[in-house]
Order: sequence, then C-alpha cells, then structure tokens
Amino acid sequence: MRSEHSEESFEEFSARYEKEFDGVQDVFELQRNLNNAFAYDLVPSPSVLSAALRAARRVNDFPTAVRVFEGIKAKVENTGQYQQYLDELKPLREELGIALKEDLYPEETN
Amino acid sequence: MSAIIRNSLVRAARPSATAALGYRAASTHAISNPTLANIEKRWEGLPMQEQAELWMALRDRMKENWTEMTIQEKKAAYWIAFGPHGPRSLPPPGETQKVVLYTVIGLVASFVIFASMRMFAKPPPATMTKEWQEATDEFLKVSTLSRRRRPPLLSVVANPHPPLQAQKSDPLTGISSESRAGSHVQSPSSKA
Repeated sequence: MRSEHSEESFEEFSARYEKEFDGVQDVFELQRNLNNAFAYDLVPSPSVLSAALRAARRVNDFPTAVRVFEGIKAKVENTGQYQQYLDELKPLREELGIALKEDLYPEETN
Repeated sequence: MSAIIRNSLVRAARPSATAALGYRAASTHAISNPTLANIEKRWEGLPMQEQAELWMALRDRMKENWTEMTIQEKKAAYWIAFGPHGPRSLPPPGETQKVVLYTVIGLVASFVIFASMRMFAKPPPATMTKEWQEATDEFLKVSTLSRRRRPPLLSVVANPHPPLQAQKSDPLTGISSESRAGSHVQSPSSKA
C-alpha cells in the first residue's frame, strides 16, 4: 500500500532547510535545524550549508560553524566528497573566517 | 566594621577574573594568550565564575569579525562548546579493562558456586539407568500381578521372569503396539 504522503525530493528538502536557516534567530534554533538537516539519509546541499553558516554568523556562534564542517565530514562517504564540499564552501568559509577542526586540532584528525 | 574591611581586603587580594581578562573596556581586543593557553587542560578546573567570564569574553569576541579572531580564541571557543568535557567527556581511562575484569570475576564466582553445588549434590536417581528403564518398558507391556499385590519395581529387575500378566499399556500406538514406540530407555547403563 502506498503512503498517502509524497516523498520529499532533494530540491524540496534543500528549499525547506534554506528557508529554515534563513529564519534562524538564536543558537538553539540553529542547532535544532542542524540536527534535523543532518539526520536525513543525505548530505545537505552546499546551498543549505551556506545558509546554515550564515545563520551561525548571524547568531555569532563560531563553534557551531566549525561543527557544520565536522558534520559534513561525518556524513559524506569519502574524503573526495568532503574535499568537494570544502572547495564549494571555501569562499564563504574564508569570508566568514571559519576554521576547520582539522586546522584547530591537527593532532586529533582521524 | 571589621567585616567590611576584611571583605574589601579579600577583594583586593583576589583580582577578579573580569579585571584579569581586561576585556570589558574594549571587547574588540583579542583575549590574551595566557588566558587561553592550555584552556583544554584547565577548563574543568576553573571556577564556575571564571568559566562564565571567559565564555562571555569569547561570546563578545565572536560578535566581531571572525577573521580577526586569533587561532587561540577559535580553539578555545570551539573547545568550550564542543570539546570532550561535561556530557561530551570521553570514557575514563581503563574502562574497558575494568568491565572485562569485573565480568571475569563474576564468571569465576558463578562457576565456583556451580561447581560447589555439584560437588555436594546427591547421585543421580536410581531410575535414570538403562536397566531400570528397560524394566519399566517390560512392566508396561506385560504387568506382573494383580494391582493389589504389585511388588516394587526393583523386584522386576531382580527377577526377570516374574509371574506375568498382560498389562498391555498403550496398545494401539505405544509400548505394547506392533511398533513398540515410546520406549522409556534414555539413560546409559549403570554398568557402563
């Protein structure tokens, strides 16, 4: 039997979370949305992630911005994909001055 | 009066964290390196008040342009937020060994209890021998005497040819039927 609810497409997912992150007003909302966005069986698109990073900047939460990249690293399948995300988000990352955890704690990289 | 003097003396002797950090006047200045040096080791030892002061200072710094934050500030901000302390702390060292040790101790103790119970147990019942069970089969197929004068089972073993009288227990499908199904023999011989 088919579900009454239609599956959300990746584009709809991205649009929904971009909207969510654009509306974020405090750290709690930011982290709640990040937890939700990273709970799916997919890696959020760079547009969603940049919205999240801008939200982190807006609520002045530097550690969570670093954590976003940790989340990407945990979600992607291999280092190549992680590197693609890093390349894609590099301009924004440098604009906002977000360091990677690998840069902050190079001895603990795994 | 003396209490007031003492309080002020105590206050003078212990410079408040606010003064030591020196950020309230100008929050745009970077927090000094000594304040943040080795914060990962010191954080949990800091008094609550100083933790709050330091975090507030970092919060103020995070309101500025992040590109102007020093690497020390970034490390401290990240570590305080997501470092392995409090609910994120790592398991204490040697936890695995402890779990293994106590599990082994529990297993050894239960084995000791089990072994000592077995050691003081009575021997297995006399009915659990091949001979007794064969006699049971025999008894059910062909009974001995009338019900009133039935001798104890052991005498059947002692005398393989008692005066017989057909009991024919379970004659259609069981022990007395053609198939001889349902034998009670299940134990090894007592002479084995």
